[in-house]
Amino acid sequence: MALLTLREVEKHFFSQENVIEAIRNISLDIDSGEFVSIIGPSGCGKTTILSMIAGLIKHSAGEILLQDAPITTTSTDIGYMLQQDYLFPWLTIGENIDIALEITKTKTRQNQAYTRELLDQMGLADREKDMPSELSGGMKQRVALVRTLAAKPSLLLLDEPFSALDFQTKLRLEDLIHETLKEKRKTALLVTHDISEAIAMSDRIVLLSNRPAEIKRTFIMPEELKAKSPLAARQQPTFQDWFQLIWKELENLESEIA
Amino acid sequence: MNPKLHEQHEQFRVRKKHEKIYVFMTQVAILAAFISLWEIASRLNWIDPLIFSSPSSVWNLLVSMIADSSLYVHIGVTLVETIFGFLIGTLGGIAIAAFLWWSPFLSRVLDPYIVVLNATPKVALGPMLIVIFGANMTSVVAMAVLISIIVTTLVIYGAFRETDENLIKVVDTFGASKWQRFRHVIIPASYPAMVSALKVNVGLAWVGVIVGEYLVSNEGLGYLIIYGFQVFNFDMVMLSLVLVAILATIMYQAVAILEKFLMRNRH
Repeated sequence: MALLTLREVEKHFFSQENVIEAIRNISLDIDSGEFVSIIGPSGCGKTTILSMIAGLIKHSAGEILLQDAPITTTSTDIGYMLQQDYLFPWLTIGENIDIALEITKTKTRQNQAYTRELLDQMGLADREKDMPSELSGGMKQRVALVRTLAAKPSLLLLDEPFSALDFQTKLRLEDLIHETLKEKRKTALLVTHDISEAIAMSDRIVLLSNRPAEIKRTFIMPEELKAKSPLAARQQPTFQDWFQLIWKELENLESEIA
Repeated sequence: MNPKLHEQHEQFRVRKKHEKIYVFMTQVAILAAFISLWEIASRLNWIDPLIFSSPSSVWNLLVSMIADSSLYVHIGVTLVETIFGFLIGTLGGIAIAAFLWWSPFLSRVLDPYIVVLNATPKVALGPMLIVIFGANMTSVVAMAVLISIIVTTLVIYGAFRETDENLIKVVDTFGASKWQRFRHVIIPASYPAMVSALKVNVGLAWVGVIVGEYLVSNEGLGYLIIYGFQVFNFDMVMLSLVLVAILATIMYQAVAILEKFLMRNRH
């Protein structure tokens, strides 16, 4: 069953002089437990799609359904992870996580225990009392993941969450997030410009065209890549073939603008 | 640590300590020289003692005003006015800024008026204040408030608006209400701006109170300055000036300590 459905979604932005068509006719189904990536040329509107799904901005036409109910505003059922951790620098790690519970008014002892358990799984149990400035970039992004998961969303939107990290940290975090999401049976939609990251992590990759964004192609990842952790998938012989294939498609798109 | 390094470290520390002592001693020497020169110049009639007074006559006046306890009233009045002006100006400015943040429509409507008010020399409104509040302490406090409140509003409102969009986005994705956004993000993010507004406003409150007392009052240090000037008692003018300088410094330092305390958890 589809957890998230986009049906002929369109988005226009208005300015004083003109109307900009950002998203044109996007239809997409994401099943429960699936990991889908969206890639495309920079500035094509990937983040706009996430913002619409998150209920932060309204779409101009079409339907966005979460479990068959239209999304009108932000909901705790959808978690959003940004490009950087954006932890509040004036709060401790523990308080940063609690803020999710406080805002969603779900700050119970039970939920707090759940978040501390998550923090422990991220290997950060002993950093609860520390300030964000005392943690490395990778640690902070892990805390941000805990904060996102604290509200127990069924769908996770990941907006290039690894882009600000160094390569090794990124690979390790990919594995950790992949494992955590699979274990908790969360559905995820990742936006990235990194082809390898998309191949390593996803079950399915959606390639968008230049603005106005349409779905150009969809790649369904083979079992041997899907079943493996991102790091292991990168070692597979077929990994390079997929990379070449998607790279070519993306290059064709980029040359269209140039 | 190896003994040689240890010795060098010790030398380094002694040197730093000596530097500190020299600076302090020089500061004291400058003050002593200034006071002595003032006294000598006045006694030898290099400067007119009637106009420039002298440290000894200022001191004598201080002793006699303490003896008949008339000084306490003036100090007390000025301090109370300054503290009230400072608090109302700061808190009022923050409140108005919050109000403007709350209603983007009103903030756009009020923008030109705030710019005009900010550009106007507030002291020029003195006579208006006296007409509105009467010739009493309220007018003086109002002057202090007027001088600090507009600038506080502008600075704090600016800080509210400059809050990192992404931090707001974080709470928005959890479905935060406007109040939650304000309380959990805007206020704590603007906290440093508010604390530094305290420091600026202490200075502004003193300006407002002294000017206010010049215009209307029969008590307070500003009143003593104007009164002393009118009856040609420059001992009184000088004494009041020195007291204003000392009290304003103490208050400023107190706020600086408060600032350190309030910012202890921020880096």
